[in-house]
Amino acid sequence: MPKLRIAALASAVGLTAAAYLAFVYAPEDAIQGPVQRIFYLHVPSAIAAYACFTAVLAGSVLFLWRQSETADRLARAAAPVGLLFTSVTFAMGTVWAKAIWGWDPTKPWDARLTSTAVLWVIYAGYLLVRRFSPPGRTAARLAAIVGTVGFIDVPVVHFSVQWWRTIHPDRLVDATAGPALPPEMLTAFIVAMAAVLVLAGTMVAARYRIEVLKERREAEMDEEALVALPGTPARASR
Amino acid sequence: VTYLVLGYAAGSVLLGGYVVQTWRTLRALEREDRG
Repeated sequence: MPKLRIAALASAVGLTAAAYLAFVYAPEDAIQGPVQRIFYLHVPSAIAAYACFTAVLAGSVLFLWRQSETADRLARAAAPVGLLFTSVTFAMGTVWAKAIWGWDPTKPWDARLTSTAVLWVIYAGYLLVRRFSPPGRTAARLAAIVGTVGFIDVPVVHFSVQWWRTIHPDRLVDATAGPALPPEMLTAFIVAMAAVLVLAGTMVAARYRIEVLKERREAEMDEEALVALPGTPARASR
Repeated sequence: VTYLVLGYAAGSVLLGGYVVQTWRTLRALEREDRG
């Protein structure tokens, strides 16, 4: 818990610094105006979601390969956090798109928007599998398969702006010719990126701890139920 | 500016809501575990 508190404090400090840099230090975009500042949380959230889904992939593969409970717990902890950051990316991106493109859902499709919506559905499906499958290893195995196969959409989302030239702008920060941003904007972005990644890591660690505590509570409840059963003197004598 | 406020409001509500919910759940479970 103290480590989590320190991480939470670091996230809060980082996010405050990022807010200052994004709203005060970074210059206003000459073409888009103030709405461009959505960029400083929209893009870091997308990258944090990729990082969480990479943790889900790693946990899922390790579980399928080694039956590691720890790996399964990591995947279980990272999936909802990844879904949260996908939701943030989506919500903020939709508002930004509305302001700049006058986007509405009836207009021609956008590759980035569509592939991100698919990503959201995949990991919402992952959580549903975990919730509604028979408890135990079956749920973990099924979820691990979804967590492994579902990751295919992550590179699709990332490269969608290059593979299909639709409305969403091309990559700016990791563009082939180097970052296409002025230094002040790049600084604000890097600080926001670091702060959001620390927050995502803290959230995954907190969820991991929640999973550990839930498992411990369930084990205790199982033990109590066994004690209550007649004909279990060894346990009843504890 | 309206869209900027709207965008950050949406992002903050989602993030803040989830952070608070996670923190509360964790604290409740920690308390139960100690008790």
